[in-house]
Amino acid sequence: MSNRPLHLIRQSAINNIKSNEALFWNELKRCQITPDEAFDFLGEEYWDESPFSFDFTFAMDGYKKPEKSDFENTVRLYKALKDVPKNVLFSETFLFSFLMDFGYAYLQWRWLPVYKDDPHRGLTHLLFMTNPRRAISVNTLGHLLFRAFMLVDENETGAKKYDLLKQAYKCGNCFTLDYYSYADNQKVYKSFVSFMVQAQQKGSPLTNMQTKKMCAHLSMLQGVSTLEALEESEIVSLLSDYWESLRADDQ
Amino acid sequence: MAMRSRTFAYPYYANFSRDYESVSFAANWSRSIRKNKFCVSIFAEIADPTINELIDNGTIALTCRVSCTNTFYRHVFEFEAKSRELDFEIPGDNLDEKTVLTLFLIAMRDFEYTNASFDAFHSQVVYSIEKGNIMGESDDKVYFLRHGNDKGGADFFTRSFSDAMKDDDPVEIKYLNDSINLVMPKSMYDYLNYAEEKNKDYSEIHGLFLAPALGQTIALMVSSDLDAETSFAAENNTKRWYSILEEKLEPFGEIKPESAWNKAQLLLQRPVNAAIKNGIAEKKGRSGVALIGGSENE
Repeated sequence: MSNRPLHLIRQSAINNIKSNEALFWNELKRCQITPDEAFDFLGEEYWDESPFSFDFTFAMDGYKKPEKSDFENTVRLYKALKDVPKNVLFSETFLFSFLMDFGYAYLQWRWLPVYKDDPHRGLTHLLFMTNPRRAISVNTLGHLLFRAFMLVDENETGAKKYDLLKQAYKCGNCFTLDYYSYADNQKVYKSFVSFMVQAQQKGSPLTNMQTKKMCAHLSMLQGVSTLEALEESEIVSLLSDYWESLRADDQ
Repeated sequence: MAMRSRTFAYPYYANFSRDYESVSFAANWSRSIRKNKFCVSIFAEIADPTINELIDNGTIALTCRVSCTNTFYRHVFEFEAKSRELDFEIPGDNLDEKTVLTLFLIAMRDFEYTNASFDAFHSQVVYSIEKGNIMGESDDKVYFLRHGNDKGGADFFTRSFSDAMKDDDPVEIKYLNDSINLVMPKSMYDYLNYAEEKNKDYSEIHGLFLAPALGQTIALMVSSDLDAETSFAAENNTKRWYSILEEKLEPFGEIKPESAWNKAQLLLQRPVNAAIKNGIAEKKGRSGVALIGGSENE
């Protein structure tokens, strides 16, 4: 395969979609749109050429459940898009355009069945229906890319780069932290995920409620101290102390 | 103990706090764009002698936290021990629109702390401070940066406010949430930056943005043809903005829609008058170049 150019949608087209949520969602649902037809549907005049081109396909074959493909697709997206400037990559225009151009079938497979009768919630996975920080953490591509930028270890080589990311996907509850703005610091995010993975490997994975309490505790800590200035091991140690006290309370 | 969104177990040294008899924590910021890098220089000025002594002996240090939620950038830059000056650079690609910078006073080790400047409530109490605790902060510094979709990279708005207004949509008010959201054109950020740089005088922001919005909201509340959304809020008291504003307007008695603008002015302590006065004072005493309309490296 060779690189294909990315077309960027104009803001006016995005505004049109947002004012016609149900209409657009129904078109997607009926599978009548292929990427080319999407250009026609939204109007050819709404697409601009961009300086970007990619050779990219989403992993979909061989997965019994679409969500099982998340790790593989996170890695693929990271490899393809890591060099795009972040202020471009995490823009509504880029994320939506990339999904329509390169991930139309993936969108149909991964998210349409989940939100088939709820256009507004469905569109939150495609467009920024709320503030950008919140929107990216639920966006079809944005949330995968965010996890990759936080957990891929560029100091390692080969598959080792993605070890923590892989463990995090196995762990599940780790990604509760995605919605907290203090998690934007890579060190804090990695420390939390490392702690969660360690707890699981020791045979005592955290429940949903315990995970939420850990996030709230971390939120309190970041309010009164600069967690970003601490070592990763110090943050893990703070979390472990609190985890011990939580377990003691539960007993 | 200062409370904003956080509570501390010890007196907090910040301009919004009342834990000290007096607080003066100023951060002098200057910034420039060089080769798609956002370059910042900071000089911190703290009035309190005890805190200065603690900085000088390395017990407390200054740090600067930079955060940009649009790009998930959140990083702490540490001052060298005993230093009050810091220069750093951030790749422009990591920043987009709202970027917030805050200076913090951080404990570098565990120690027992008291200060002759504590207010009466905390006076002569000794507090145990742990390494890493935030002991105070400067006011936030907010920059709004933008980039071009084609090439990325941050550059500052340099158009004047009046130029920016010519080709932007007007302010839009949304009442749908449990608050009133003012949706401003992007170029308004330009003006916010300008006011921020300019000795933190918010009277112009109040006069230009808040007063019209507040006037419109009051007019909506007191008009006889309320829309369904506002009627529901009034009857069921589900919107905090509605009940808060209702309470504030109570002393004025009956208000007619045509006097809403005047009431908004009164609630905001006549910001338009203050802005005009400040503008005249500034013209008389101005030296140097204002941010807007200047070069990006001023």
